[in-house]
Amino acid sequence: MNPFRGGWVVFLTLLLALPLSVTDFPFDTPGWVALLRPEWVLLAVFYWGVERPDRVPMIFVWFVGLVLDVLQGGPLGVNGLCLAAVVFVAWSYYERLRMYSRLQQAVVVFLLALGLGCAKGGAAALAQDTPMSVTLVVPAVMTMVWWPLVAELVQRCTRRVAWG
Amino acid sequence: MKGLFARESTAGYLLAGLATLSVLLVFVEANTRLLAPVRSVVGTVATPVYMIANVPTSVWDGGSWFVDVVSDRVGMREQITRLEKQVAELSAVSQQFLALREENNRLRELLGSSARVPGEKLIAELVAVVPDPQKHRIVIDKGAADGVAVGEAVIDTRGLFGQVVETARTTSVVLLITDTTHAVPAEVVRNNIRVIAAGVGKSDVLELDPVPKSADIREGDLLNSSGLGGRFPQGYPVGTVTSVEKLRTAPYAQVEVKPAADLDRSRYVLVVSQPSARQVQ
Repeated sequence: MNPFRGGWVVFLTLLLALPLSVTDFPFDTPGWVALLRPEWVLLAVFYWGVERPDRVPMIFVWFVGLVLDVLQGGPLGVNGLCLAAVVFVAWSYYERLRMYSRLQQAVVVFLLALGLGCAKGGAAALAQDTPMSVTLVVPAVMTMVWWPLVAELVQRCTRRVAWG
Repeated sequence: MKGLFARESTAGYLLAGLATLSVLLVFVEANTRLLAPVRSVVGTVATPVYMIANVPTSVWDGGSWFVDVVSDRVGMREQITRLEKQVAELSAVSQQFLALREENNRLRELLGSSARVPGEKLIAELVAVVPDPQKHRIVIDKGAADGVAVGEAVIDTRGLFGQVVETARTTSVVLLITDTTHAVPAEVVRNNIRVIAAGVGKSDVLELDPVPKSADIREGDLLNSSGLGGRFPQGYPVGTVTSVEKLRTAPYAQVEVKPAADLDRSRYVLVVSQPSARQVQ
């Protein structure tokens, strides 16, 4: 990630995704609003992994995952592992993934987010004795639904960035 | 693009390495306390993230406050009068409370048991909620630098709220009493039956761990923290019994309790530090 050749945009996007993942809503918002939250960091990593695989370093993303674990109060290492896996998928298949339509990409995003959900649920079951439940599918579905929107938005906003 | 392809060939090894590291972290954390400092340091570094995450709520609160001030001066005045009245009433009650506590301690002395020492209290504001609906955790704006320590009890104006499970420099994570991994030793105020109120992952329900069917617990009974286990101070309201189900097929009674604290509404909470062990004995 060379910060002087557009890497800062990737950094900024990730920096924006972190607070979005833990934003607290005003108290009079109904409870279901919280369920609409996608895995913001996964969306950001996947977008840049496919769009600019040379500007998304896996080790850096792993550390972002570590911060996310602390923010969300989950077992350390789970987000890091899954986000590193997302980078790996993006690095390996970015040419093909770019050819996909947004909807086809959304399916891939769903599978990745489902993997993240299962890993989180599994690790929590292991570390904190929390029973696993089907609710871990909800964030994965929401991540899929948000993907086309977020991808288009980020694309429009970063069209003029000089990547060098 | 040359660099990219060179990296691609090592990507598998890199992923394998990071995966091993991650799994190792999860196992170490599940079995030891070695990683608490790591969490604390990362949490301190990430504190600004909580501040940013809190912006929408602050703006919302500030906005509604502004609207209140501009549009409803009469209402504000009424509210101030009401609050002033409430303060007067409460201070009258608390004067009596101080006298009663003194008297109670003297009586306890006569009985040969030690006096109860109230813990220090620290007001904290909620800055973030852990978004996973499976986890009932919140983040407050006081941390190790303010003297908050892991294991301290957290209450709000109505009752027992939770306990501190992690501290960073200026923030701490509080595990709510409704989390599935949490349980509070409590007692029924009416007859001092000791019970354990465990969270089930819903913000308005606690369940009592196996209670014999013969136990005298009824709907409407109040539960206070019993102070057993030494983690929570004694005598704070835990909740009210909302239903007692005695099924013929089940060996134990199923008792549900509504938590006394406003778990999903309180913005301000109090961190209660335990008086030192010497004073408790």
